[in-house]
Amino acid sequence: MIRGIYTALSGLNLHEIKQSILANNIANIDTPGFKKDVFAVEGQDEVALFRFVSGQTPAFVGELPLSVQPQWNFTTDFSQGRLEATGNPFDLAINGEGFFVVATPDGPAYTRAGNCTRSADGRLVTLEGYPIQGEAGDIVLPEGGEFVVDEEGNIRAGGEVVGRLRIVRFTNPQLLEKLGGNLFRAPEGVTPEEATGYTIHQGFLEKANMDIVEAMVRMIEALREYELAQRAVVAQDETLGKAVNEIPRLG
Amino acid sequence: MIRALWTAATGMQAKQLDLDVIANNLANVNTTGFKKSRVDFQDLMYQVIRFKGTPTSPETQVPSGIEVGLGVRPAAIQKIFSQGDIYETGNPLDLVIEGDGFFQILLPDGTVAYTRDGAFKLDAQGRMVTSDGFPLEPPITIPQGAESITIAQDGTVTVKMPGETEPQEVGVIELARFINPAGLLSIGRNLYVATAASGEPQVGTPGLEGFGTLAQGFLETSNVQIVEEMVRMISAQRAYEINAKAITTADEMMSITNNMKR
Repeated sequence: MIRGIYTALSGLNLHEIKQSILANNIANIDTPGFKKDVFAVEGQDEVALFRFVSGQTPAFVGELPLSVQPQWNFTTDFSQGRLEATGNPFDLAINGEGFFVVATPDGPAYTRAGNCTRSADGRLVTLEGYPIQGEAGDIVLPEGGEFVVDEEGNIRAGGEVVGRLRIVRFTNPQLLEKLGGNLFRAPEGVTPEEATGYTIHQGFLEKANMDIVEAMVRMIEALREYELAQRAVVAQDETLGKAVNEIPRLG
Repeated sequence: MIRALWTAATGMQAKQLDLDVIANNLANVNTTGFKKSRVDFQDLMYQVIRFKGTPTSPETQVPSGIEVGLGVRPAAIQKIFSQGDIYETGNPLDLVIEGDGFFQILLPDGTVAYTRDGAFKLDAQGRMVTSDGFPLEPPITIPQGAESITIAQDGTVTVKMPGETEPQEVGVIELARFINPAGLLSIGRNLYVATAASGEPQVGTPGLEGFGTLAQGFLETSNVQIVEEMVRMISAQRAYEINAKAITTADEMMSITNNMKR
């Protein structure tokens, strides 16, 4: 009886987290390069129930999970977002696998948001001012004139190649930590490798891989699941109430 | 629950800002030399509920943890300096820069501002001034009684005086250019001033070293595309709506919690 109340409660807590994660996905629906977080719930390790009658071998009744837990193996969905034409030459998008490498004061970070700009000293930087890394370090664009980025990431200014964007991939991107500011960080022991399966598109931005219809449906789902868990608590409470108040009266 | 409420609120604020910028772009759709702006968004910080790599047993660890994002924030509102459409006016003092560069304007406080708006006029002293009366830098003075004014592609200003056969040169219009024009500060009246982010201006002759050329009798309209702004407005409105729905949902969940105990 009491056991059921705690099981339902663990569901309530997790569905609240689920709703928060959905709200964050929705708030970032227009954030370039944003990758949505996915949150799913599963039953925790099951416990076996036995019936004990004195003088007999305990009889196996069944298995029962006592609480629910998040599914650990899948938290961020790194699927491709749709590319939107902006016409701004400083907007770069990756189609396919990989991340841009950004040099932050705390070491390298990785991003899918290619909305960059040129700093006062001519380097290609993110909107926060962190330099975007080429294969030979910072990318310096010569003064004036236009620059062209081809599909392989080669940067040309005035017909001359001035650098090549460094695009890296991870065997398991799930291990990346979100830093905020459109950046990901690789925890210790996770090393990037050179990506190959990508094309770079200049004048395009990758939008969040979040779809408004899906967001709506997931939100309704989270709300109803929450409601259901609440119902379970109420039902347990009523049963318990009957046990406490009405059963003694019958006797 | 409270988390979802505030997260969705940052989403609504962001969309409000987006709409503010779109409204300003649309309000300036016919402003000479206006450059459209765009808001760029970033995800806010993350609250880590369970760290990635937390050991679950001596041999195993959590492969991917739980990070709850706390919303969105605007990272920058940047000007897009693409070329606007060019239209003919026939007015000899209307100038357009075809390509890179800004006109330099001397403000009353002695600082130099920069503009793409080439709708110049003459003041009482014959100086070429903006619509607000701020003179071009270096100053160009048209002598009184000039019959015609010619401004060449390279910025040379010549006038023909009555009774003279040879045109007379009165000055050269110079252009300024920035390594990062998106770093310029807009001060209204179609003017920009230099900042640390834009870098120092490089001054040069139109048509040389990558500077744009001048065309007389034309003006540059804004680079705002109405269709694009309309689409952005629709998308901003719908995103605003779904963020509001997220708030309603969080509210409903709180109400469900409140009804748990009767």
